[in-house]
Amino acid sequence: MNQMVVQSLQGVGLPSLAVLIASAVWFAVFREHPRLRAIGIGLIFAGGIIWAYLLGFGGFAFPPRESGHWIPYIAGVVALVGCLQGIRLGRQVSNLILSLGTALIFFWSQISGNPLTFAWIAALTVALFVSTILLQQVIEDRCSGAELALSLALSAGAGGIVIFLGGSAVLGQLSASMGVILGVIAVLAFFFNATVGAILPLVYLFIFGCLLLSGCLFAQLPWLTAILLWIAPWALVFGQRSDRPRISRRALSLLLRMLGVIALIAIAVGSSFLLNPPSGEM
Amino acid sequence: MKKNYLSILLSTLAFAGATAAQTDSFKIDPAHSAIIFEISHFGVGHIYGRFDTFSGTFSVDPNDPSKDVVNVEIKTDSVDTNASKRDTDIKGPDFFNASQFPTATFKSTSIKKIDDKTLEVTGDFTLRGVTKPLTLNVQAIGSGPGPKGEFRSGWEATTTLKRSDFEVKALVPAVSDEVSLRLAVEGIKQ
Repeated sequence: MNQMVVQSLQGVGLPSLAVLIASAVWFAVFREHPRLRAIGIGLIFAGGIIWAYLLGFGGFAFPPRESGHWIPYIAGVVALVGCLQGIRLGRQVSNLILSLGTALIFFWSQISGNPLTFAWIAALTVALFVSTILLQQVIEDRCSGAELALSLALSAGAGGIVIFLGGSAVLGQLSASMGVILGVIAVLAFFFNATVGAILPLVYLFIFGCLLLSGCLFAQLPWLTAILLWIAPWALVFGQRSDRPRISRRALSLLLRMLGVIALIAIAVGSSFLLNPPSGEM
Repeated sequence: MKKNYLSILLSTLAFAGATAAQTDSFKIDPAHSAIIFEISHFGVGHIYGRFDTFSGTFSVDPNDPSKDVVNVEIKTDSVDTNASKRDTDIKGPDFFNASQFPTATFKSTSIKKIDDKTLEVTGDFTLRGVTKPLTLNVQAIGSGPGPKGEFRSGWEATTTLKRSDFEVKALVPAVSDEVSLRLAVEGIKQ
């Protein structure tokens, strides 16, 4: 097997395996403690992303000089803020600060010469903040852990494909890693019939947002594709969570609720192929 | 006729009518210059690429080469490897990240004369926001009047660098870490 494939498999597989083991233990131990379970799963997820970043980018850059360098730091900070939200931090205020901070990091330092910088910062802040309300509160309340994690996994996994096609193997690999890690958590949440809490979607939002934005601004990811992938999990706003004890009933409900998400993702991937036809040159 | 470093400098002086203490400044003529690179692909073959847009200046002090100065600026989004999709990828975030880092620069810090035709030029090379010292082996090619009477001086520089030193790590080792660079420049006396 060639070196590129081995590297990619390691970059995706090793963090996912670690998350599988750690999350399985955490789900089992804190099955009856939703708050502790949410904190643990959120931190494990962020840890998995940071390890996947380390394998994909070959190390951390400090101080960060470009947008991609910020990803592991954003993952860590967002996970910690997410943990504190459950204890004493106001969720809306802290989410607004995180949204503004991420927008400033992304645009102020990277494209500060652009006359539209302030418009970009405002637009990204609003997009992130509204998304946190939708995903972390409205949708999380209406979803089982498996439904939420699987929808995020499908979006991130598809994001890996389209970002790779858009010209960034490294960012694509990170998005794919996030998709597999979320897939692992979705499987565990399904079998433990447990929620995943509000920290995991918060970390997902900021990291996937950074990846999609990097893909659009610095690679050749079409904006339409990115927007469709971004909003795909919002399809879960329709319907109610299914916590039925029987696995077969839950599985059926899970599949039905994924239809809207899958439809949006399919359109997103299709639009990527149409707007940015792939080429095998390297 | 082959000219050595001394004869190039002498002819530079003769043309300019300058005194021995004068430093002559040259501006790189992009139409008669090239910056090309070579990189190994899967250990099977070599890919060659070039930068289409660059600029720079150099100065020549005939009495003291250590006072010579070289500055080159390369537009990273002008990379051309004869495969447009690959060029797009190279300009992207995995390699040059040209949107965020539109230029690569070389600024000499010291120049040492090796022999009559050869200089060793050390300088700061900046790529993708990372600055590291880089040494160029420079050969004098020739000098003399051009078609419009302008005075020209030609040089060729080679070096090898590790792209990972400049945070360009993607696809190593499938696409080699080591990159060979060649700069062939003609300067027009200012």
